[in-house]
This record gives sequence, structure tokens and C-alpha cells, in this order.
Amino acid sequence: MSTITHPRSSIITRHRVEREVVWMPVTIGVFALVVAAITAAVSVFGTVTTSAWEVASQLPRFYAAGIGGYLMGVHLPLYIAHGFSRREFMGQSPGYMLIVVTSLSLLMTLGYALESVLYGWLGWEQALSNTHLFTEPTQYPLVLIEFLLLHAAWFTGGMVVIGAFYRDGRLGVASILVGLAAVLAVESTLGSSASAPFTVTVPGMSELPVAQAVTVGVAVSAVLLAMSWLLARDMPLRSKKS
Amino acid sequence: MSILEARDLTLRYGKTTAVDRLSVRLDGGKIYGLLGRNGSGKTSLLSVLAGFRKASGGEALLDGDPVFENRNATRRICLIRETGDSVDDDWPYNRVRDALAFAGEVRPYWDPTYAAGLTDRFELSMGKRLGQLSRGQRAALACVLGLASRAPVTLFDECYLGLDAPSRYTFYDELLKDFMEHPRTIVISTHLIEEVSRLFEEVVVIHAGRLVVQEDAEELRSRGTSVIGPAEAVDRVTSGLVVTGEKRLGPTKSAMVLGEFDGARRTAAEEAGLELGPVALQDLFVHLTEGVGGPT
Repeated sequence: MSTITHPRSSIITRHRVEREVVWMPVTIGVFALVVAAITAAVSVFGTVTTSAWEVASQLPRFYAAGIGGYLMGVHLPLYIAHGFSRREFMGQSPGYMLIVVTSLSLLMTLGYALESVLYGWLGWEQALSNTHLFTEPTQYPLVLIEFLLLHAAWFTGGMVVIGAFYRDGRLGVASILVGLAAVLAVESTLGSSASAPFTVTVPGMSELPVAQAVTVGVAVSAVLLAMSWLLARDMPLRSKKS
Repeated sequence: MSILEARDLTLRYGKTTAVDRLSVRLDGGKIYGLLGRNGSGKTSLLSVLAGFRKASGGEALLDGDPVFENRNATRRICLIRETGDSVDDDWPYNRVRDALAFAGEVRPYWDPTYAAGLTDRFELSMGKRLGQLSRGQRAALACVLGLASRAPVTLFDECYLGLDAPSRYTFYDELLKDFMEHPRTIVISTHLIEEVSRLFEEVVVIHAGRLVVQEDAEELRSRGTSVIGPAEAVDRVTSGLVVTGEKRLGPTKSAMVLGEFDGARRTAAEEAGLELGPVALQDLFVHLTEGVGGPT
């Protein structure tokens, strides 16, 4: 007897949250333990005077880019093959992006808070090495806003690069430049480019006021989302070989 | 019953035309055989019909509505390719049980009980990761996903080629049994023509991206006659007819002749002790796609 069910249109977001976002606290928790262990090792040989979390926060951007890339390169073809439309999938991607980016950014902000407690207990100074939207790591709303903008840019950058590679290798290579330029623009406006994996700043865009930085960050992510839609809207499904 | 249709369908990859202004209508409730040589455009045609690719020209329609980017159409179509297009890369949810659970959540006509039974029949381990499955096991999983989807239009694109012979026969038996219980439109694209031909109600032959023939399987078989007997008698009876293939073993010869025997020739054949029969679909297919450049 067939069970005829009609999947709700939100099922893609629900799937991805259940399968990926729920693991995020574990992933970032393990990451935090590794950072703590390295910091402890450093403290054995000298005095810790700056925030280790600030340095460590470079890596989760790649995590955000990876989830965005996976969305385009793995999950989009999977859902199309199972009867969903590209429009339906991509229509849910901004919502899913918000959930991923917000979760990751909250966890990273929580990292600063925990570090503050730990450093205070140990009598260490939680100084920042680079410029940010915030001047103290305890300015949590600004810390959260910076992480949100950064992670959104990296997530959507990952979508564009992997989406382009899925379509065509040469397009993929070209898209790396687009992705890098977009991410650098956001990094520059936040004044955090020195802490980014790339230390280039975009002239005239360094350390903008919060409102302008937010505007640039949101605009960049919106443009990248629009580009990922252009890549996805008629994306052919590749044949895999077993 | 759903009607799947290609109207003047064209698909190009750069300068290569894989499907060339092909029109075909597949009425509901039948098992179709889609036959064609390597590179004839079978996979490309199925990909467009299922919405996996956008056509370069023409239309793919389900019940008159465009398929591409139309969820109401694509949710009723299940194209199964060799790897099954499943949760391989969705680590850690990439075990056989995850593949079935995922299909169960997104395929509207999915039958979980039937899927579990098929998984047992093909001896698939629920806990095994898809990346650890052998080619045959992957093919078996693809077959399970296709059959248990119970989609009104199910397209099998040579997905069972990796199966060993006993498993292939299990697949054919299951397909026929389930089709009888749950009639729907099934298209089987294959190179193993003789092995699967007993399932076909209608045959679609394409070549160089174009339709060569779409015909009822029995009518297609009746297009030719096989003649077996003493070589001299076979040669005499088939003299003047189009002989598309011959085989000889000692004094015995078999010949495949196009067209039906008329009364006088049939009588002569019977008097000479010749055995007349239908031709193998595979032989007809070879003949039909030999040197064919366009539609007939």
C-alpha cells in the first residue's frame, strides 16, 4: 500500500538544519577546546596578552564557506534529483543561510564571552590585535554584527564558487576571484582584514562606520546570493559514475 | 495515467547535438523500452524529460505542462541513474537506511514497506555507507529507490547494469510484479535488449538524437521473420527478400528476413521443413540503427 505524502515546501531548510546546524555547537565546541589547549601550551612558555579567540576566529569563516559550497555542490543536485525545483531550493537558501550564519556567529560571540571569563580568572589580558567594529571583545552586540556580516559573506561566497565549479571548471576558477573580492570588501569595511586569511584591504573601504559597514556587508551577501541563483536557475545535473 | 511527451526536443552540449528535434509521446500505464546505441542520446533525452537538464529547444511535457522547474511535474517523475543520485555526500547521513529515509521524506508516492522488502531481496545492509557499496550494490540500491518511489512516471537509465545476472532477474520480476499491482509509466533504457525485451509493451528506438521508431513491441517483432533449417532450403526460400542477418552451424542456417512471409513462401518453407519464428528484438534494433541518419 503506497503512503502518499506531500513534502512541505520548508522541508529542505528543516532537513539541512536537522542534519547540519544541530552539529554546529559540537563542532565549534571541539574547535574551542583545541584553541584552549593551544593557548594553554603557549602560556607554558610565556605570557598570554592577547585574545586567542580573535586569531582562531579566522577558521570558522571557511566553515561557513564550506557549508555554503556544500549547499550548491551537493544538496542542490540531490534535491533536484528527488523532484524539487531549483527555484524552490534556492528560495529556501537565504533562510537557511540566516540560520547557519546566526548560529555560527552566536557561538563565536559566546566564545569571546567564555574567553573573557577564563582570561579574567587567570589574570590575563584579553586584548585585541586588530581593528574591528568593536574595540573591546566584551561589546557583544558589535561582535555579533561583525561575525554575522563576515560569515554571511563567506557562506554566500562559498555558494558562488562551488556553484560555478559545478557548472564549469573555468567558470569556477574565475569565480574564485569574485568570491575573494567580495569577501575582502566586507573584511575591509569591518577593519578586520588584518585578521583575515588575506591581508589586502580595499582602498576607501577600511573601517567604515557601523551603519555603512552593515550596508556594504548586506549588499555584498545579497549580490552573491543573486549570483548563486543565476548559477542555479538552469543548472544541469551531472552524471556520477559508480 | 500521466502522459510524458517530448515535442521537437533538442539538447546541445556546446557544438554537439545530443537530442535533435525529437518528438515522442509516452502514454500512461505502459512499460517502454528506450533503445539506442552508445551516444544515441538516451540519457540526454531522459535527463530533459525528468527536468535534470533544460532543453536547448522544444519542450518536455507531463500531462501537457512543462517539466523543467515545475514541481507539480517533477514530483511525479523519478529518474534513476546508475548511482541513484542519493545521499552519498551527506555525511554522516549517508548510509543505506539514510538513502531510504530521505527518499521516504521527499518522494510523495514512496512505499517504505516495499522499500524494506526490496532491500532484503537485494541483500543490502541498511548500515552500510553508500561509498562502501560495490557497483552491484549501488545498482541494487538505485533499483530499490526507483521501484519503491512508485512515481507515476519512473525512468530507469541503465541503472541495473552493475547487477549480476540473478539480481537483474530479481529486478525484472519485481518490476513486472509491482507494475501489475501499481500500473504506471515505466521507461527502461537499456543495452541488454534481449534480457529485458519481454517486459516491453512499446519500444522507442533513437539514433543520433532522433527518433527512429516508436512501435508496439509485438508489432515491431512481426516486422521480421527468422528462418531456420538446412542451408540450401533457407537460401532458396529467402531468395529475393531482404536478409538482415545470417548464422550458420554445419549444415543448418538461420536467417533473419525483413517483412512477413506471404502465403506461398510460407507454404514452401513448411514443405522444406524450415522453422519460422519471430525475430529477436535485438537483431531488429541492430538493423534499424545501422546507417540511420534521421527519422523514418
